[in-house]
Amino acid sequence: MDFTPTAAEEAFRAEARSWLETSVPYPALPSLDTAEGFAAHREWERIMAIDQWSVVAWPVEYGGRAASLWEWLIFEEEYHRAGGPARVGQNGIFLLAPTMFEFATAAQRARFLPPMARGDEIWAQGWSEPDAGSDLAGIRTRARRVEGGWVLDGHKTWCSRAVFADWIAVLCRSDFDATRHRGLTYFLTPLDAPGIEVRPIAQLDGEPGFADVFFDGVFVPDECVLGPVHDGWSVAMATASSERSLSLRSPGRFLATADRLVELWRGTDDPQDPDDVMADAVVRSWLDADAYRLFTFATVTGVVEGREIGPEASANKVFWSELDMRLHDTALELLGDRASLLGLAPDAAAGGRWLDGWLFSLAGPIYAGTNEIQRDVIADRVLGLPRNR
Amino acid sequence: MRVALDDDQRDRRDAAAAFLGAVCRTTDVRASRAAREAMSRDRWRQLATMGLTSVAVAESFGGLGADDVDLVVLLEEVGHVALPEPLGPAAVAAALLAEVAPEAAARWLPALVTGEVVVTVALPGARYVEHAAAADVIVLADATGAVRVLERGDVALEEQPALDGAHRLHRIVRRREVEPVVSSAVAAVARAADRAVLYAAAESLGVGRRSLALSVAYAKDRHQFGRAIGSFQALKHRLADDWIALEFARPLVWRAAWAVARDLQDATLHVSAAKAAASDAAMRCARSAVQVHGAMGYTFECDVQLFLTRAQALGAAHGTARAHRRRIATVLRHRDIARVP
Repeated sequence: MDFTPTAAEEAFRAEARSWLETSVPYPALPSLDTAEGFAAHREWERIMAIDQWSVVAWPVEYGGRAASLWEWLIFEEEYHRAGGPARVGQNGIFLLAPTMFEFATAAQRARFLPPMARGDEIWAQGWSEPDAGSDLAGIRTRARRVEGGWVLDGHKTWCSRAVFADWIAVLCRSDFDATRHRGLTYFLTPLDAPGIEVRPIAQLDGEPGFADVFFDGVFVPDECVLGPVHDGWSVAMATASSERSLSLRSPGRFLATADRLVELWRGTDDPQDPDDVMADAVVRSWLDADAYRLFTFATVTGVVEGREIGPEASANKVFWSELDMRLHDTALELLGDRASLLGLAPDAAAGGRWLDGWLFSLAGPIYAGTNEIQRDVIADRVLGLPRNR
Repeated sequence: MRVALDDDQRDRRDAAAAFLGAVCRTTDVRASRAAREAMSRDRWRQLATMGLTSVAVAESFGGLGADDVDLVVLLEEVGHVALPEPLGPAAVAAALLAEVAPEAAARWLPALVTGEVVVTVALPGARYVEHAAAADVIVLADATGAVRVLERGDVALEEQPALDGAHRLHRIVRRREVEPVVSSAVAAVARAADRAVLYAAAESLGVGRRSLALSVAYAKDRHQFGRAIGSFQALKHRLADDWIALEFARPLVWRAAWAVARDLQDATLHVSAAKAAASDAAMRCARSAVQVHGAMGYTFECDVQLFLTRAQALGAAHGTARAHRRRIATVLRHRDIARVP
């Protein structure tokens, strides 16, 4: 047990803080779910890449700093503390890249990772289908073998940021005789390939944050197959593990939100709260963000020491997604009748970010595997309760 | 940074857990409740033989000199068996005496190590003293920082019968005028109070873990509608949430122990965070266990009640979860709290 950062980690923190303080754009960038905002966020990724801050944990040859997991956590804390923009490349840098480090060929890594690090190629993820959501093994998008590659036909949906993204990673059924999790293959294709049509879907807030992606005879060459043919399930599960556990939602994000919640509370003079009802809600949320941070440190300790992240990744996902809702619920309560104002309203607090964040928090228990599925995973695989599926 | 037990800690924990499981079965806890003094002198001596009464005693007084992290790891296992004997209070007393009263420490701590005496502690802010009647020595600290060592006959006690009958609670009604062994040791007394809270949090983790284990075992075994009730999603999700609550509370307890052992800034508040999370987690696990066991869970015969009553007692003692959150709120409203790490 040792809760003391090393001198090198402290120095890394200081360097990151100093760079972020002078570099994070102000005022905040427009929403990345608009064409203008997407372009601005892409530009921010380029700026980060120039000084090697866009993918700190990657090897230097691909644009990273070979930072340790601890340093990555520190960078994330500093990034969110500084109010850094949402990462438009998150599907690529946080989810696809770790999978590539595990499954991609050297040529694929050299081809795909550097432009991903620079924000030149933004990735979307094509997993869900109209009839394959939580039950991902029901995938029907087909990959047919042809000379030199594969031809894809089918329909992917709920693809985040696919409206403006450049590439998409697609999970397809390649062996039509196999069932369930067998016979799937993972493909990489540009979204402007002939035969692809992207139709925006308006999210809860009306913005085209995700999309339907239709594949009609789309050719994918062999060099764009990621991992073993017919074993795309293993590849996808590696991504899912990143998604649920460490890389997608680092504690720094919630720590920063919790600190902003405390700021909001301190500025709220509340004679209506003689029994400290709101104080208790604020402290609960703040403590939970702290608990998430410590739990993550315990997880990282395991990873650093060579233990695999098992089903506890599901606990992580349940916790951060529900923490995010509690943080924003509490903030909206503190704001009272101002809570429903959009950012453009004259009386809006903090540019409407609490309301935006609250809406976004509602997606948390759905994406990356619904929390109902995660609880099943914990019950089945951690507690050993009898399966019901 | 390393947030995990090391191999030695894990080995010691496993050895302690195996030993505690053998000497403190649920039938033993029930026997303790029925006994006049609740705690067992025999078991106290056995605990001493295993080195468990000496974990917190400094090496200069014949103990193992372990720090608070080792202690919370052990106390989780103590909670796991709902041990009646006051290992936690004795550890608080031992640390306090060793820190501020070397003569009294030299007089009493070697006998604590061998298990010849039972030591408990009375702290400012706590109304009741655990096992005061059974103890040979009560280390009494007050808010002015005065610390006294009271022996049998120095105090008149009033027992306060409580739901958790294996841990007797007493109020000190009168005491003889005994010279303090130290006066105005305010900081040390505050640290002792922190330790009492911290150790209750650690025990709570074990109580919660045991309750969850009872729930899981029963849910696998009990069949209704032709299948194990543990296959029903409503129940699975409840137990998954219990597990999550425990897993997220444990690192908070470890961190608080680290902070107390090093007397870090705001250690008191880290202790509060640990107690709030751990006692809430223990209570939710214990209540789930009652619910999962159905009508059986509402009986005296079912072991679930041993851990429900323990969770309730630990939750109420040394400040409730809400009181600890309020303590944090009072500070956080005006300034940032020092983060560890």
